[in-house]
Amino acid sequence: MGGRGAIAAAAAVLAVVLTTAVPARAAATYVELNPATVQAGYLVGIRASCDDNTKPATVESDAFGEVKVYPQFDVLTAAVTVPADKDPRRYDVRLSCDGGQAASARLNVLEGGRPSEGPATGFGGMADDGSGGLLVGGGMVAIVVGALLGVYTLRRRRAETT
Amino acid sequence: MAAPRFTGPIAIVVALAGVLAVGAGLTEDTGLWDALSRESTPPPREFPVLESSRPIRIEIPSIGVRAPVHGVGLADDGSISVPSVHRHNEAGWYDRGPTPGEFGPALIVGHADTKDGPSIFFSLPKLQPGAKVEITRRDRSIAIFEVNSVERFGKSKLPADRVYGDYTRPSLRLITCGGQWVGGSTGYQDNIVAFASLVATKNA
Repeated sequence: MGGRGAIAAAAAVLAVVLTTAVPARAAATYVELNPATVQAGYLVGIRASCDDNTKPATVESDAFGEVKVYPQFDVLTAAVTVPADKDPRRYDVRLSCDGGQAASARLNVLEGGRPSEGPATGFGGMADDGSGGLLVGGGMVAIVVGALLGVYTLRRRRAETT
Repeated sequence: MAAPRFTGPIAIVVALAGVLAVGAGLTEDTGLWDALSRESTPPPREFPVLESSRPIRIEIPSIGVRAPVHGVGLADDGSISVPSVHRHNEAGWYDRGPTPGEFGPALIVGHADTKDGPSIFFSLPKLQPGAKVEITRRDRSIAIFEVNSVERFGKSKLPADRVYGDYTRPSLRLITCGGQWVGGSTGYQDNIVAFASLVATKNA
């Protein structure tokens, strides 16, 4: 009896080691969206996991209808476009596994389109006094003065040598 | 006039100073200086993601910004509308885009100045890459963003994909005005945009 108990205990330990050490068996059922916030008209990536990730499963939402997720690298994936005319709001996304398990996530759909140009964020009170323009003007004057001085110097030198 | 042996070197020095001044003036006016001194810090690979919740407050300790945030929509010309002048010390969050912390670029605009003094985002051009921006949200969580770069663009030349179109991670765009004042319906010629990425979250 003691021998049998020991064998049973060893088998139990082995079973625990086997199930925890082998990651091929998925630990949880989930569905994830990337991005979880999207503008209407754009693509969303779906990543899901069931107990058995070798069989396709179904993901369904009012935002994009029903899509199948297929096995890829130990998880189930798909990509789907949210139609451009979807109302901006939060949508539930539901995963139904082949084995009966289920999970859900939320997708936040935003209005499509973008602001056209930069916003008008200032009233001018602290506007630059144009130090750039002042530098350019002053620099021009300095160049002219330098040139005149140079011409004057050369003339004086020539006058001295002759 | 001084002896010619002095005026020769003086002429050269004055002319060179002139050339330098013209060069400096031109680089400042064209924004070339900003482009040359631009730095950037890439965002970390890992990032948190938050549920959707409206922003109510913004704090940028490094440039002394502490202000309430309210929602803004679109103006008639299709640009993001801005806080009205009597709320110039508040920031405006573009309420048709993502909230700060969820995937995508949360857009927050603020005035650079009023008619007679600086306003909330006046110091935005001085913001350094690596600085932190804290956004308090209505769900009482705080989204902490790290500045990646601060850049200046002509108002009609804003790189829309970079500013408005990146949904690969939660990010923040702080937008104000800068460059030359041209007045009329344009106001300032350029926009200053601070690009930032979500790096951490905490509870208020």
